[in-house]
Amino acid sequence: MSAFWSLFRQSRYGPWGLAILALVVGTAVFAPYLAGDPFALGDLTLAPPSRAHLLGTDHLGRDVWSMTVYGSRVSLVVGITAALVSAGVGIALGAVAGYFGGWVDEVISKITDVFLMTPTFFLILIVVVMFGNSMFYVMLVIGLTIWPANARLMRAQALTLRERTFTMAARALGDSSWRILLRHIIPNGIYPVIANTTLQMAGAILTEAGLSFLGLGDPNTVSWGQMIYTGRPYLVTAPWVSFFPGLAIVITVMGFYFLGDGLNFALNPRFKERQG
Amino acid sequence: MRRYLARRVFSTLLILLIVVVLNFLLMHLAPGDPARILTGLEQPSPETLQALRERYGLDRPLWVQLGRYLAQVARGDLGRSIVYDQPVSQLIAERLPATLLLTVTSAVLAFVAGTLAGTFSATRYFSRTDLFLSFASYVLYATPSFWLGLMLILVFASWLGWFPTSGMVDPRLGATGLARLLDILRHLVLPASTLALVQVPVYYRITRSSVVSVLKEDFVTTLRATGMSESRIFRKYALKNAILPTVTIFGLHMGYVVTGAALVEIVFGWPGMGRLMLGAVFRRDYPLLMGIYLIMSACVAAMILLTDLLYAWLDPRIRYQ
Repeated sequence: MSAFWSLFRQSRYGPWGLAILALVVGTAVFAPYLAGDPFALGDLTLAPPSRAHLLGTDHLGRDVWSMTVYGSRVSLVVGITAALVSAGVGIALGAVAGYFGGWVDEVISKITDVFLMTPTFFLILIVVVMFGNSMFYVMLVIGLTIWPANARLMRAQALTLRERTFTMAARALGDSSWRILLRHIIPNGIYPVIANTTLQMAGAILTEAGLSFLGLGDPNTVSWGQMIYTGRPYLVTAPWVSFFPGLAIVITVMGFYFLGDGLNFALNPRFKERQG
Repeated sequence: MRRYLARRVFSTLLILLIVVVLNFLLMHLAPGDPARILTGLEQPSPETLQALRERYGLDRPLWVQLGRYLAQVARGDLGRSIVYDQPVSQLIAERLPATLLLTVTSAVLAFVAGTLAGTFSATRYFSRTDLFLSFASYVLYATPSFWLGLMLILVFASWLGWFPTSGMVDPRLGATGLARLLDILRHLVLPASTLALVQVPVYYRITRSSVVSVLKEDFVTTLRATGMSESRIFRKYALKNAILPTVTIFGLHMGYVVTGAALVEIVFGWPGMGRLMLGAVFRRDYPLLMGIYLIMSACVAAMILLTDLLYAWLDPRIRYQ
C-alpha cells in the first residue's frame, strides 16, 4: 500500500488530479453552503458577473454561480455511476472470458466486438430519446455501452493470471472455478481496470454533457451541459452563461484524467515508462 | 495472410449483421408509436392509424418486418423515410459529403498536428516545451467539443469577424465554381478546427509515448554506438516503428468519420448527417434511423477491418502469429 502511494506521488500529475477532484467533490457535497438556490428565478436577467451574482445570471435570472456549483453534483453522480456500471459488467465478463476460455471466451468476445462496432453515442441517443431522459437511464445506458474496454483489460489480465503458480495451486487444492475467480483472478487483475475506470468517469461526464447539450438531459436537474445549451442563444450578449459551466467541465475532467494517469502509473504492471 | 483476411471479413460481416438486428429490435421495442407520431394529431382516428400502419408495414409482426428489411438491404434498398417521404439512401447521399468533408479534414489535421507535436515532445522529453505541450494536450482532451465550438464562434466569428458563424455556404452570395469552393473553405475553418483540436491530444499522447519507448530500445543504442547520427537513426529506424500505433488509431478514428461530428455539426449548423440523425431520432423515423445506423456501423466495421489489415501489412511480426 505504501509502495503504491510512493509511486503515485512520483507520477507527474496524479496528486494534482486528486487535489482537483477533492475540490470538485467538496463543491458538490457542500453546495448548499457555497451557493444559493440554483432554481431561483430572478428579475435581473442576463446580467454580467457582479458582486451580487459572481458569475452573472441567465435568461431567467438564475444565478450562474449557484447553477455551476450544483451542477457538479449531477456530473459527478453520472460520471461515477456510469463508470462503475461499466466496471462491474466489464470485470465480470472479462474475467469469465479470460479464465474459462474456449467457447465462453468466443461468445463473450463476439459480444464485446458487437458493442465496439456500435456507434455508441448514437445508441445512447436513441435509448435516451425513446426510453426517457431521466438521469437513471442516462447513467445506465452510458455504462452499458462503454464496458468493452474494461472487459478487454480484465480478459488480458485473466489470461495471464490463469497460468500463474498460485492459480494452479488453488486448482490443485480443489477450489471451485468461481472461488478462484473471485478470490484470486479478479483481485489481482483489477488494477488496469481501476485506472481505466477513472478515465471512463471523465468520458461519461463529457458524454452526459453532450446529451444535455442536445436538450436530452434531465430537465429536473441542473447540469453543466444543459447550462451550455440554455446559454447558446445568448452566446454573444451573455457569454458567461455558456462559458463557466464549460470551464467547470474542463477542470473536472482534467482532474479525472490526472488521477487516472497517476493510478495507471502506480498500478499497471505493464507500464513501461516506469522503467526509464 | 489470405486465410487471416477471409476470417476477419467473415467475422466482421457477422458482427455487422448482429448489430443491425439488435438495433432493429431496440427501436421497435421502444415506447412511442410511429404511426401516431406521423399523424401529428393528439387523437388520431383509428382509420388513419390503420392506413398509415399498412402503408409502412408497421402492422406486421416484428420478425416479418425484420425479414423484409434485411431482404431489402441485401438488394441495396434502404427504405423510405417516414418523415421526408424520400428514399433513405438519397437523404443520406445528400448529407454525407458535407459530413465527410468536415470529419476527414479534421481527422487529417489532428493526425498531422498531433503526431508532429508528439514527436517534438518526445525528442525533448521532460523539457519545458514538453511539459507545456503535455499540459495543453490534457486541457484540450478535457474540453467538450461543442463548448469549444461555441467559444471559437464567440472569439473568431463574433468578436473578430474573421470567419462566418455557421453554415457551409453563404446563401446570399450564390457563388459557383472557385468562388463557391473558397466560400465553403471559409465556412470550414472553425468547425474543422474545433474537431481537430479535440482530437489532437489522442495522437499527441500515443505518438509521444511510442517514440519515447522506441528510442529506449536496444537497437537504437546499438546504432548510436556505431556512430550513426541521431537524426538519421530517428528518420530511418525509430520513426517507422513508432508510427505504428498512431496509424492504428488514425484508422480507427476514420471509422468514426460518419458518427463523430454530430455535436459540432449542430453547433455550427453544418448541413451534414448530424442534424439528419438527430431529427430522425426525435421523430421516430425508423427507416431513416436504420439506414443511418447501418451506414455508420458499416463504416466503423470496415475501418476496423482495414486498420487491422494495414497493421498486419506494416508490421510483419503480426502476420506470423
